[in-house]
Amino acid sequence: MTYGTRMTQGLLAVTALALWGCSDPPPANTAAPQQALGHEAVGVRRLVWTEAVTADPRGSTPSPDGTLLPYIDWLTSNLGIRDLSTGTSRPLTSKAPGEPYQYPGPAAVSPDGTQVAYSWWGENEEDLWDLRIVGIDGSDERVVYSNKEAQLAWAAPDWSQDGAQLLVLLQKRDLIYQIALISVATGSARILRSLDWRRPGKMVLSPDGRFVLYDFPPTPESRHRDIYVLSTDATSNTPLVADAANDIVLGWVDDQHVLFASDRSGTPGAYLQRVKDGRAEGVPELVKPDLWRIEPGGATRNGAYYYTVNTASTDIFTTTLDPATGRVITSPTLIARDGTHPAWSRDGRYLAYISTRTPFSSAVVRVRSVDTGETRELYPRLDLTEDVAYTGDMHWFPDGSALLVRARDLTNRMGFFRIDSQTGAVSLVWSTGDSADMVSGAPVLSPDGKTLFFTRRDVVNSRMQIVGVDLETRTERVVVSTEGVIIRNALAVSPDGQRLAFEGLSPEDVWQSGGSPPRASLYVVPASGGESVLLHRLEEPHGITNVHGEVEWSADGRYVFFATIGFDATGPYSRLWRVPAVRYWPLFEPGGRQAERLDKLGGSSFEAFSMRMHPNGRELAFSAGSSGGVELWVMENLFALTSQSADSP
Amino acid sequence: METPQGRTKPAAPAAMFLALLCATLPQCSATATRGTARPEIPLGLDAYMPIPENNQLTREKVALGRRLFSDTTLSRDGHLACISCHQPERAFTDGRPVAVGVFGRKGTRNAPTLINRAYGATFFWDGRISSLEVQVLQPIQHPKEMDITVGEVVVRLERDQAYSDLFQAAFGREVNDGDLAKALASYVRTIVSGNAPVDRYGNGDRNALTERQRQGLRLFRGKGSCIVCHVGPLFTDERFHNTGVAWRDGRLLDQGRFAVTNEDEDHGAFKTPTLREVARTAPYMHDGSITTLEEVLEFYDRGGNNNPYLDPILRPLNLNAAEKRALLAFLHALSGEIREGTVSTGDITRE
Repeated sequence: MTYGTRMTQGLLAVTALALWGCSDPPPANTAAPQQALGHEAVGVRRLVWTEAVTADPRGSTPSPDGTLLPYIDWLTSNLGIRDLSTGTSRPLTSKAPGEPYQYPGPAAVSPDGTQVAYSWWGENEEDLWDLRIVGIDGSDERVVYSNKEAQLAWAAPDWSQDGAQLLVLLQKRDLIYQIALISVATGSARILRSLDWRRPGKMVLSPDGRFVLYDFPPTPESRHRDIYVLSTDATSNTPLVADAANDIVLGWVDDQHVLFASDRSGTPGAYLQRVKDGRAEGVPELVKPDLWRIEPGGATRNGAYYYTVNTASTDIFTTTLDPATGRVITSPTLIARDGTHPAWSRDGRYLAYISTRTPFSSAVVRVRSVDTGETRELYPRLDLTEDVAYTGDMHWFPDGSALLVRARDLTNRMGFFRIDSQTGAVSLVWSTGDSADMVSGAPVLSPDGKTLFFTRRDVVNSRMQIVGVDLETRTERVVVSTEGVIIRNALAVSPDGQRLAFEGLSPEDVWQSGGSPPRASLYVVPASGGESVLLHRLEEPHGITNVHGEVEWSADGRYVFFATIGFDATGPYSRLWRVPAVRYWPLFEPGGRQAERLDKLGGSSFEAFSMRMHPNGRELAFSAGSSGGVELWVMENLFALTSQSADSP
Repeated sequence: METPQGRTKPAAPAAMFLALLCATLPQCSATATRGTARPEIPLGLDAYMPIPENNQLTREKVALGRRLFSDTTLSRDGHLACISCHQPERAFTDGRPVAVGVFGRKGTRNAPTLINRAYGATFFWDGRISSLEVQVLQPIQHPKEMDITVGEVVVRLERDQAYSDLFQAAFGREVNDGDLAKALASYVRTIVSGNAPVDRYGNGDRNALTERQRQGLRLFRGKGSCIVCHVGPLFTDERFHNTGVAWRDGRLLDQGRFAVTNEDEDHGAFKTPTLREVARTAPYMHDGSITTLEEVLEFYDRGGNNNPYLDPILRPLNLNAAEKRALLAFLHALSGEIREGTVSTGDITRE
């Protein structure tokens, strides 16, 4: 996982916040359903924007008059601006195809509507997120702030009303987040408050510039968020909304009213809170109920609030293969909705997976009996959503007593954790000590459960490694170390524990935005260490999978399966392949071996990942679903509520 | 509860408890509004410093607290003051393995530095106290430290007209134990350390660290895994870890955090100390049992002391000699500028 690919982390973080909530069972109503204060006056409508899959407005804030909305154009890796009144879009930045890989983060239009502030990541020796401003006409792009030691985190900046300062979220190289104000004129940073490994969601300056509104877990062990007001003179940091419910910031409607989302009534809804001098006055009032999957956007001067809804979904499927030919012989069977990362127990009797189906749940682990279909839920005190989703799977320990997973604990500290398969109790197996300088991938477990393997990227020295950890002696050794090959997170141990298969990219195959997609390769190396041998070089110009990078061994260890993403007239699809992996050394074949092109996994618009082979060698479990789209919505006429609120006792 | 005049009767535990409670409860406090102030925050520390609403910083409180900090009146034998164990020239430590109290009584734990404690979440090596206003009175009463009741201290201070005047100036009332705590806490909040080479480097000055220190920083964040615990502006996660320091001859000599929480995972766990000014705060660990930074590095390089409760984040690091030198060099880059008694309404000069 590269520092630069925090883009995906950030997107998943935003998505996680949108799917926010306790992994414990949904709490009893923490408050009686509020008598809606004229919520019928607030209209909610969807703005149709059919390109909003590659044109991504998530997290960006509109112009104060609500006519312009920045977005990230993932096709060109440029920042664009959409005129919501005319339905037209145009680019703001002008990165050309073939240029080194760069892309923008969420953006914000200035109060006077003449500039746009945004973060920008450039893949250079600095591997750096900086803060930039560009004119609304695309002119005068300049870097405002650039500091390798404290970079911009994935979040839209927020302008002060006078346009002189930008509120930003920084992330230091020890991965601590900081709330900071950046001077637009000088680029100097004033650190208001350091947090920890956890980050706020939306952060917004009050219109009068006196306060920063942000959400954050109240204690290191909290699974929910409260809302805080931090004064910009740094004299106070006060809870504004603090209770057992999960509360996230949407924004300031005006200096006296804050809009936030909460699950306090049992379903997520938008609430209005009166504020005076940074303190709550009265109780929150329900504005709009049933705002599922809301992702914060921004408020306008005319009482509207723009937000997005992510419609992506992922489910668990199984399919049956002919072990002799590798061909798919049954259509995929839906096993579970809203699930990812299936993992078969070593005896094949259970299938575990991550699920976000429970209301507001960030993650629970579900264990399904293959024999009976009965499913039980585990509530490990871990944040599984972001990092497991991005970097890899769960694995059962051989005795079935527990699962191994890469995750963050409740203070967002990264490590490999053991989850008891009966109780969900968590213990740390291995601390990875991740920082921006040293990034680890997800672990895989040897068949005997005594060794775990994982990828590690030494950012400073541009070195990739596969590391093995002896869990009994608690010592690690380097299995593979290379400066020439980028080892991605697809890593699998052979059934006999003797070999590792992994996906790699040679330097010339690194993704070039707007240019040629990468051509990945499969390698095999002895688990004890030694020379990596090229097993297969993909013919099709795509990575092994679109996001998660998976390879899997056949049950007999004779083949390595992998899946690629292809595109046809109907959209993306997943295709299964296998390549023979027996007796590949010392009689290896230069250029790798030929892979057998097998079948599509499911139909079109069906992107499969996280595939796992059943111990019987016949059943393949995988996650799949639609990548979905981003819907743009607006809540309007909020001022009708604020005036009523002001009149209320 | 306080009388309207603010006088409390000494030496009554219940009364003292209530006074302490009042010191921390907003609704009980008589707020001094004379010239509220903020410490001057050096580079590297957050602009926001948590200060309780019922003990906002004032120049007068800080001046009073500073004087009390150096006053041996606050000890039974009249020879010991807070400053005896928290010496400014030693980054507010004392250079001894364990603190030495009145009549030469030796304690069991090392006197921790007081720098940046305004940002702290819990206090003492076992984190048993979460309020600075409560913490500052503990050493005064501890039999192996200053061994005097707060009530006795109040009586002694009442006899000194200068203190009566200072308390009036700071709080608008006569000497009492609640305000004693507030004054000391106010002064401690002004003890800050920042603007170290690492801070300047973090602020964009690429020349602030030598090449060896930069290498040490990379190791600190990478192979050394130091940032797993020593993280953030304070270089501490303010959490509790068993590194095995207390494990000797097959047993824990000090239960640490377990004595506070009774949680199994807290056996022999101690709070991660700050690494700011670490080059000046030898000896190290909760018992001062490690004398030099070089020995500290050796301790962590071998993965701490194995014991049944060892924190799983500890493991052998396999550092070579050059890497250890680089880490050592980096640790010296955490020494910056220490300020004390400095508030934005004007400096206070130590007498």
